[in-house]
Amino acid sequence: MSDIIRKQSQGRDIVIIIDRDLCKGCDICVKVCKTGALELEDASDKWEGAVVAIKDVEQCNFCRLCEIQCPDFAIRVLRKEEEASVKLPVETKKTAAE
Amino acid sequence: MSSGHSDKSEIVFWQGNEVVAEAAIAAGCRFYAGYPITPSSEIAAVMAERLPEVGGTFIQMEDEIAAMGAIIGASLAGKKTFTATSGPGFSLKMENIGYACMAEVPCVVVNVMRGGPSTGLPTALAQADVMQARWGTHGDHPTIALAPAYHREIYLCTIKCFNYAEKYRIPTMLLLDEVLGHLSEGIQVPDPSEYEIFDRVKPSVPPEKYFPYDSSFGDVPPMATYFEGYRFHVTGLNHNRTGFPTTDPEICQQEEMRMIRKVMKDAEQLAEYEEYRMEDAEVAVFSFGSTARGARVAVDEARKQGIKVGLLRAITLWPFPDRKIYELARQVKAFVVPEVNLGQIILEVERASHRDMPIVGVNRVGGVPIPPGEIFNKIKEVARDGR
Amino acid sequence: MAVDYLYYLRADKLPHMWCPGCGVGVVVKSMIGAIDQLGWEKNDTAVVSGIGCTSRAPGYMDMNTLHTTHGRALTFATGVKMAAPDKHVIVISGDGDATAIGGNHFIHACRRNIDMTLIIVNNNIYGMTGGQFSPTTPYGAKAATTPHGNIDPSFDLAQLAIGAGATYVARGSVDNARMVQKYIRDGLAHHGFSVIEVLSNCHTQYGRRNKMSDPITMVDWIASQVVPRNKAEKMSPEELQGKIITGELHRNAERPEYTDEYRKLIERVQAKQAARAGARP
Repeated sequence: MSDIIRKQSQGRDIVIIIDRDLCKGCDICVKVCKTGALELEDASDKWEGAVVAIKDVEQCNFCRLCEIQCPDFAIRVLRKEEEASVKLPVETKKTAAE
Repeated sequence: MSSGHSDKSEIVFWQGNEVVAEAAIAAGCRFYAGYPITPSSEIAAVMAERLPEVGGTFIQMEDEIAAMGAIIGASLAGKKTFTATSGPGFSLKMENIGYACMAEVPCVVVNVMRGGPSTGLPTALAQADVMQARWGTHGDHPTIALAPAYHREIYLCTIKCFNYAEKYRIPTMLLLDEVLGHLSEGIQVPDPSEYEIFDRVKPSVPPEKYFPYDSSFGDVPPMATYFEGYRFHVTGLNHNRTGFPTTDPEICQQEEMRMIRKVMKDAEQLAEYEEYRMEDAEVAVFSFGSTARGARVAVDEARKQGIKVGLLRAITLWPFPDRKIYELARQVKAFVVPEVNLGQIILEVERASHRDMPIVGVNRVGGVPIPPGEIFNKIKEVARDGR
Repeated sequence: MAVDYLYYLRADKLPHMWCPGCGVGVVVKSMIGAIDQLGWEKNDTAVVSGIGCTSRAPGYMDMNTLHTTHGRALTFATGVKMAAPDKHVIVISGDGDATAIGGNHFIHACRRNIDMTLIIVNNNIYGMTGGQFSPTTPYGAKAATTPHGNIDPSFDLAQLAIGAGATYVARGSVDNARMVQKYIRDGLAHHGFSVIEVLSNCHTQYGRRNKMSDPITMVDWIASQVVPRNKAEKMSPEELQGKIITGELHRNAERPEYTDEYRKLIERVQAKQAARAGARP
């Protein structure tokens, strides 16, 4: 079971997806985000560190820097229509387990 | 130096090194990578000339290590590949030879042995790399090494080295020595009907069901080729059947044992030798390579004097002909083991004999062949007093 | 359209083994982005590496992957490329792997101008073995084997590549993954030997010993040193003291490519052979 967080903007065509299993809590995405859309949250359910969380999707300006600078493939910032063309971790893991 | 390929039926006058090169092409080799080193250099020169003619690839790399790496890479891309070297170069190739063992990549390494250690005697004879051929790379690993003594045999053994590499997915070794490499001799080139050509077994399953080290297909798993849709991973780390690294002690042990077993279960078939005048022999001379030529002369000479002596000439050094030595140790009173080193293969004869008996060496390391007279004298001595 | 990263990855192997915030992941992602932009098929692409943290990258990539011995990736890759000249071969390597133990292969691959791309993740340290200094560790820096400060001068990898004959050379840094992706894409598209050096962070081994033990601090330190080429051209030598110039640093479309040369050689030899055969009665 993958641990996926998905949030969609109310008014704008922006979807942020986070794979909490891939995130190592390095904080790079939070630091590169100029608008404060992301934050680290305690992840004691997973490990002793933190993982990224979506603080406020409405703050996102779709610069995609967090996605580009994430070393762990843990965060995607997409248009709604792009979701279909991008294999999400949850699907991939299901395939791999089969 | 050969100029173009000759008609197979005619007698050609070739150096041992030229024989290797021509036989490699006959075996289907289409990729050679090397680095200049005496006394194996002629092999590279002939390959550079011949490979483009047959659409193959020759590359002279920046060093010995690079040449070994290149032939492994090219083999993964589907080619039959080889490199040739001597002494110091053989030492340098060792790490990547181990890689080919671990990753199970077919390729052939020719070592035209010269005097050592170190730079030693670059243009002179030795047979002192036989243990290095077996144990030169670190860790446990399988080895197949052939050591022919006659030019026609060099041709056929070269082809066998390619066949065994493909059949067992290992780097195989052809051990010549400086005398054989540089000796020109008339040979009738073997006709293709005289030998088989073996190509690696490719997977019969579709890519999604393929695992590069899947022992359910036997101890030698089928080998896919890069760029044919299989997209497999190759590493020198211990790995499981999928090819990905593991440190699981159980799996590591199983896989390493399979790597050894795939060769050793065929050890007796692989361990080829020639018996000469052994029927009633009471003394056995055990020899290989160019030294065996002199040993044969010594045996004939001793026979003339009524000594019951024969020659067991190993064609395969690894796997060692253990059973034959064991049996002979129960037939003969003594072994004489001439070799151009200070006593290497004699240790194997001692081990395999499983008997406390006279096993005496005839050794030289000065870069010249052992004169048949020296071997003859030792035979006489041993026959007389059992020592 | 967004890049489908996981399509190019062996997703079941994730999360990868690199430390939190390690630049290698950023470089791998940039590489995938570049491959995607060029539309290269996974089946037609080989990724080759040596030994070290960076050299674990091929294991995660769903392509024809080859994790070789320390320093020797370019030699295996040369074999692959020469055996299959119409396929794509990418080598990814660390600074120690590519330029210390693999230094000889590095300069000779540049010299041959063989159509492959070498991506060097330069993090100034041997990470996997425990933080020993590498040929790119800065003067004075602390490493496991320079506890009193490094006295070894360091290589300028891009200049080394240019000097040795590589025909596309660029340098990027992990703080700017977009540019890294662009340089890798241009390097892959270039017909000849291309080298992309990426300045990266090993906060675990290098940073920890040099007062930058978290990725943010160390990536900021890298970012503070780099100057884009166009900006650097307007700066004085004094201003450039201690700076590292990034950008496309060299491009030469004139030098012959090695597999092309070999193909021509085969054609020449075979034409001569055919002529000889034709001349015979």
